[in-house]
Amino acid sequence: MNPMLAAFINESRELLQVASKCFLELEKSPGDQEILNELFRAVHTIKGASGIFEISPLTKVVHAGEDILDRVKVGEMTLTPEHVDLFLDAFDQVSQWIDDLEDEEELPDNAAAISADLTKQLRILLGADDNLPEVSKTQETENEGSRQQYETLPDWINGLSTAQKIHILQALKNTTAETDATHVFTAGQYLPDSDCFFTGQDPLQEVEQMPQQAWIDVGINEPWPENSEEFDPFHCNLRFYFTAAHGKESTYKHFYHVVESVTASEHHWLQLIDLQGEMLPQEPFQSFLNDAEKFSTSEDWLSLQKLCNEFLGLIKQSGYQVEAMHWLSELLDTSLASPQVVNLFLKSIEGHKIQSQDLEACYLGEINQSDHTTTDDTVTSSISENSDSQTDSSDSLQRAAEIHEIKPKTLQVDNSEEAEIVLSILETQLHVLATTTDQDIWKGRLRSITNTAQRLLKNLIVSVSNTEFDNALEKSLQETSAEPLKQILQSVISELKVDVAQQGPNSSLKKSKEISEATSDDKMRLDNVGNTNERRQQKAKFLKVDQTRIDALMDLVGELVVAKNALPFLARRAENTFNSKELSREIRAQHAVINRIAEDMQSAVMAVRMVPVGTVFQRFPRLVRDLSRKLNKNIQLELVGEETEVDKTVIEDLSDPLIHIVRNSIDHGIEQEAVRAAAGKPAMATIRLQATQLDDQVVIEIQDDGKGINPQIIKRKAFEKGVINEERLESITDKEAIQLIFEAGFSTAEQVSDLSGRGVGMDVVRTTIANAGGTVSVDSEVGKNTNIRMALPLSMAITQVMMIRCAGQSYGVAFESIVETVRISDKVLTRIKNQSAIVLRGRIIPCFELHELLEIPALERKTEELAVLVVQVGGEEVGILIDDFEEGIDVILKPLEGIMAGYRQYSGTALLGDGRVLMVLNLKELLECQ
Amino acid sequence: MSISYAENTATLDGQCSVEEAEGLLEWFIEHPQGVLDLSALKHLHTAILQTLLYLRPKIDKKPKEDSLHWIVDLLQDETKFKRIQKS
Repeated sequence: MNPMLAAFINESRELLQVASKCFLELEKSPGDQEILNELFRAVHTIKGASGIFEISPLTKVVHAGEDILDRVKVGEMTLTPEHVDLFLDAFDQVSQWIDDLEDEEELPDNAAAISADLTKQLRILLGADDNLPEVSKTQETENEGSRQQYETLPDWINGLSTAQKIHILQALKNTTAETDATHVFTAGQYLPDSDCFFTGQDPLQEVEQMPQQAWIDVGINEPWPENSEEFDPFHCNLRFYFTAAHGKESTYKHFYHVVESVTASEHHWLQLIDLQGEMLPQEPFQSFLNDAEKFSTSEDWLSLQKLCNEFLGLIKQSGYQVEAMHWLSELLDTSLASPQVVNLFLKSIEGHKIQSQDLEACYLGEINQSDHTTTDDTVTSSISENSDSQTDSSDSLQRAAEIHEIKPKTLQVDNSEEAEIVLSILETQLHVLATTTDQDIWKGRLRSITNTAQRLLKNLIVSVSNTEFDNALEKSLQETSAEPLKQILQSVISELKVDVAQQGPNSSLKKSKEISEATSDDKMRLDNVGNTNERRQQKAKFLKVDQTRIDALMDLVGELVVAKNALPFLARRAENTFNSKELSREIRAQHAVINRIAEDMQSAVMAVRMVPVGTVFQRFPRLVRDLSRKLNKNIQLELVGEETEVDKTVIEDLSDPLIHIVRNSIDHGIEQEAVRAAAGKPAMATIRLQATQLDDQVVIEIQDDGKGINPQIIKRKAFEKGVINEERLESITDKEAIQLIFEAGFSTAEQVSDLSGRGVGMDVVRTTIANAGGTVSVDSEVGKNTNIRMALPLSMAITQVMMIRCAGQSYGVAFESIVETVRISDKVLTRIKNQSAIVLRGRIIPCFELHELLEIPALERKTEELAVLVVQVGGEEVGILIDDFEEGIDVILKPLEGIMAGYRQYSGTALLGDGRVLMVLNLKELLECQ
Repeated sequence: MSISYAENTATLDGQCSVEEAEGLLEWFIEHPQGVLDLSALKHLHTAILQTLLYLRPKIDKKPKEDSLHWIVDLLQDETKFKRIQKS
């Protein structure tokens, strides 16, 4: 994959997570400016970065979101839970798209449609909330300054032919909804930077993608070179002219990142009309005028248009009246067709030239007119039909003003920031100049001071030029006096000092605040100034590494551990075969060293793989929020111990079971508010997720204060469903009974909901946890709470096993299940009914022969001594009779594969140092088969 | 790459990006009589557009995409470079 895209995907995922977190926080503390800023930055960054790739559906959705957040940020809107729902849905879609991008490197085919739908919903949100007052606001300003509202047409439009202007009008008509009462358009000119291709810009695309863009033309900045050798395809020589059916603020907004390259002006459609041509003899038009009059009095504009077109089809000449008729025809199917306008044109066809003030009166009158005629209906319908135009035009002058304001502000920061640094550097130069040294060094020093100063001044506006510096240097060298150079330096310094002083005494304080508010772009710019090394250093402390690399490292450490295990074998061989005790001792000493390093390495790699549990927990606020809204329950989530660190693979195993459990709690555990009130519980239910580290295990507890689990119901259901038999039903304790929820095919919910209750789930939870080497148990007090406890190993990569011998074979047993190893006389072994057992320190421990469990023929025992491995399986202690104990070793446990995968009596295999394969027993499975 | 070159035809297909401008220029310098097939063109980058405006090759097949017709008009307008309408 393109590394840029990969980076974008990673970054966006993080930012989406930030956004989602912010939304949830905002629900708790609405209007918190800090959270809003963080949220806005996240969304803004995604939008900005997405623009680099061809994923405009994604960009559009994020852009729409950003617009709303912008409004919220300045306090023009407040977020309601419904808004947040929509936002979260939209961002879910975005994150889905990010996943798609990762898999396919492009968005799915339906993305555009989904995007349009989401964008529309978001835009409506924007419109429905405050578009109505906004529209009347703009109208007010239009009324106040109606004459200034429209600017004079730019020269490049005036230079167009009538046919071309009519084209513009047609294009404007095509992009404007009929219900739109305003006839404003923007004429703009975009002169992209000649280096713009190198910064990933595509000016043509930018112009084409402008909302309601109605017409494009291209011009060139410099004449094309004669010789094709000189033509540089990557040096942008094009400029763009365009019109768009919206106000110029929308244009500036669209081009906000290149706003300095765009000039736009705002006009009325009627301003395009400029009748030239020669006045023709009147006769041919008389019949037209006669017919036109009756349509004009009945205001039947479409029939009048038809008449115009028929007449225009007949007439071959061109002239004043013909042009007028062309324009009239174009205007008749727009909402501009009014008796006032039509009469004006009919008069012009009669031979009376249209005066510019008459035309002006038509469109300036329109404003007063529309003031009365614009009803809420037309506004809302145009919102839904043409949401882009509405939101854009409703962005009022304030938005444009903001855009303009931001620029000089950041420039100012840049300059004063720079100026201060430059000042200090220059002052140092002055200081250096004052020190004396021998002649040759002094000359070089003078030159370097001049160089430094000149380089610095390139970026600043001061009255001293580089040549003046050069002259001063010459003079200093000739006169062997530092004076000329010193003077010029001092003059620059004093000039700069005035500059800095003008920024105000608290400028540095103000600046730091502005920096924190500035967008990332601005930050980048400040970075260049060079005083944010601190941030860079912070960055260097974290390293993002592909997980597969860590896994590869882990595998290597594993192999090292196995290789290291070969050394004791070697030592034994040295001693036994070659009779060299000394060599053997040395090998063992080396083994100890390598062992230590390998262990350190192992724990170092483990530490890298450790991830805070918080990474799993952080998705729960969202889940709880969504479910509680859906089920209309009032639930708060408490997260405790998020910083507890667990191996990455364990985390991954943990995530699905946790979701299951939390869903179950919300769906089945937490009661409806009324039920809670009746039981005297607080209306707000609590779910608590807690992670704690216990030795080499991590314990995750999920606790809710819901209705608890009734063991009686569980017992009955379990019996009905055949999970337990009658005998067990009699003997089972309450505590044991509620563990039955983890049995396969068990569900107590009366109704299957779409959340949980299908009778899968809890047994899947247990299986998953068990596969990860963990255990899960439940504890509950009826009517009060339920507490589910999962215990998982902190890390699973390296397992300690004890080797044992049975029937001439070596087997491994995981250390954590071993309670003790004892050697007893075979006389101690007693039989209770069919079961052998031993009594160990007052406890009766049932015993099994391992070779019987494995169903392999036993070797005859030579001694009367029995080796008993006491293990803990399923909460019970069991003795396993084996032939002998061997040493304990660290191994990498590999799961069984291929045809062996079905042999569940082995939990895996491990490679020994001498190349043998060790089968590691799954005692639980073996004993259950008994 | 979305520009492919046959014996005497350069075919622009789908989205033509900035990095292909140089190849296009070189090909047309070597094939001054080369023609353009734009039938499957969806979008061309500004750099491609400007290269074509400079070279002004003959257009053999026009784009199917309606929104690109104005570009054809622009490329075919010999007399007056400056202004062409989008139909």
